[in-house]
Amino acid sequence: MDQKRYVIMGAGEVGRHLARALSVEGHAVTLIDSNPAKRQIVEEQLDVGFVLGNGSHVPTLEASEVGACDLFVAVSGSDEANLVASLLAKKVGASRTVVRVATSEYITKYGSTYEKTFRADLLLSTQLLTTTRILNNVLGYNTIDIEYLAGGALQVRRTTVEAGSILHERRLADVDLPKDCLVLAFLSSGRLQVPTGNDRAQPGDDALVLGTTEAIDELERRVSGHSLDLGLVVIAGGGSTAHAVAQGLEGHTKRLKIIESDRTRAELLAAEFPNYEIIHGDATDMSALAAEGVGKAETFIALTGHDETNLMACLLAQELGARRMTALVRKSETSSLWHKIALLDVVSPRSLAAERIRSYIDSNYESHIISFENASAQFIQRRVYEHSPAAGGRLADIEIPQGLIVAAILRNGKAIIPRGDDKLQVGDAVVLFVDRSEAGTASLLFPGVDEE
Amino acid sequence: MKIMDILATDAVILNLGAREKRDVLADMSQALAKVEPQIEAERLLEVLLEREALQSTGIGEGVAIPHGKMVGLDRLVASFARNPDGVDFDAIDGQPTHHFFLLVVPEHSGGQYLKALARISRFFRDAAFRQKLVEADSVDDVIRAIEQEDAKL
Repeated sequence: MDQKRYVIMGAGEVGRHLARALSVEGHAVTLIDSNPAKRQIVEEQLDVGFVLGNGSHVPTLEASEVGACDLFVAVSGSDEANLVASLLAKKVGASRTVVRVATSEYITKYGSTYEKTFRADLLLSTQLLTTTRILNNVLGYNTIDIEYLAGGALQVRRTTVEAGSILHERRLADVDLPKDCLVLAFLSSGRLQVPTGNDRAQPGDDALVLGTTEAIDELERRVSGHSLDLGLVVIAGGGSTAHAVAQGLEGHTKRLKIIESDRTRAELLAAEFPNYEIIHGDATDMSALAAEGVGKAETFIALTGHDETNLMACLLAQELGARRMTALVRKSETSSLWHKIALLDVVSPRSLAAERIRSYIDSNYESHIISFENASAQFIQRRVYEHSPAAGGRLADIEIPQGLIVAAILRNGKAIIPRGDDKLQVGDAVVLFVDRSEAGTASLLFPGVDEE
Repeated sequence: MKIMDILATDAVILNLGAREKRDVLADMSQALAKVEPQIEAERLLEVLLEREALQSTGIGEGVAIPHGKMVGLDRLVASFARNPDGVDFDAIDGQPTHHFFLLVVPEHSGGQYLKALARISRFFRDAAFRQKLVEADSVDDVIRAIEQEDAKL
């Protein structure tokens, strides 16, 4: 096996976890952290290099020999420092960078802007990974990744195809796709294939689907065969993750309760989710849980800020008779223990981040298809000008090269998933999905600068 | 659509002397105007420059595909020129450009325009095809190379 060089900024849980896994396999790993106390922990526990300093300063990056590394991973506690470090690492010669940010807002609206500005090959949000995993558990989806385009109006979802899925059983031409969504590609062992109507996915392949959130949800429902009604869902805790999960469940259930201990926060949530029942109370109070009918809940999700509270609440919900429990556990070292004690799904944000970065590395950096640099295919947004060859053209005529897809038209502030008969008008913006081999053709047909 | 059906073989230039982007386009426009009565050289040059202003048609690997629409033309017309020394054409990969494939189409040519562009672009993606053009000693060699690609797709 080739020995690779990795530089990881941030010797926290994610950084140390990755460093251990990679160094055990014989790779050269350097950790960067500005906290001198981390040096001792790293030197005692791990067989890796350590550079004390601020990873968003060039001298630190140079001391870590970032210019000669295969991958630079920025997973410190500061989102801003991670982003800046990615850009500087590229400036001093790093070939690829991964950036972890905590909040999902960096990704849901302006993901490609941040990726391009800070030259990150993979930008991931712990919160988005967490929300995605919880929604997968609750809804039976197989979502691996979500990328947002056109300011959040569209998303690209990467989802694993299981045996029995309609994407496997039928030719693509025979799949009843919801309006406003489009299957862009299948991924088979990291290789991207743009399908024709005659193709179908194999079990274990991933599908890349583009569309509005509602349309893709509808497709996932048809694919998973899950029923529309989830029954009663109870969420303990009303923080930002709970907020994102509640949003993701909109349209899937009519009965959702959120138990929040802070009155002001509870009132805010009540104003934002008029269709849901927001309860001001303590999720570790058995009689309160019983009074809210937690025993009849199909799904109980504990998302407060405290691991112990989450586990306690899940144990109580289980005792009362709730069917499925999910607990958010931030200290990933203990999460496996909790899994043994109770029949619950334990979701650890840091483990999810480490796993995601690991799968990116293991797939030889192909698993993140949609990234800006080094990718085998990418999305670009271009304007249609008077002198653009594509102006006035029917889409059915444009999609000649298979690796060039007009995935969406942005017209008058609306995103349209086009059909073959749609014509491109001067002034439209188009979202193109372009295989690397067709980048030249894309520039011929849609000349101009990339837009955000 | 076959590229040979639209190539003006008498306008092919194997040793283009021009060293500047504008001169390349001017020389090719003049060569094409000589053999195609519907084309006026100065007007074609204007059309090509308008399109280049949006983004260079130098698509990398030493290849440029200048193109545009012309009022009064009744069919697609193409020509080819080669400059062994290479010209700075603002190509997307920053490299000098050696092969120039010019395409001019009627104002309302619909899908034909895009099909032709995509097809030419695909020909040039093949390194073996580019090599044949580098090695071509005569216009006939160029024609043979294009005919072979035309037969493949």
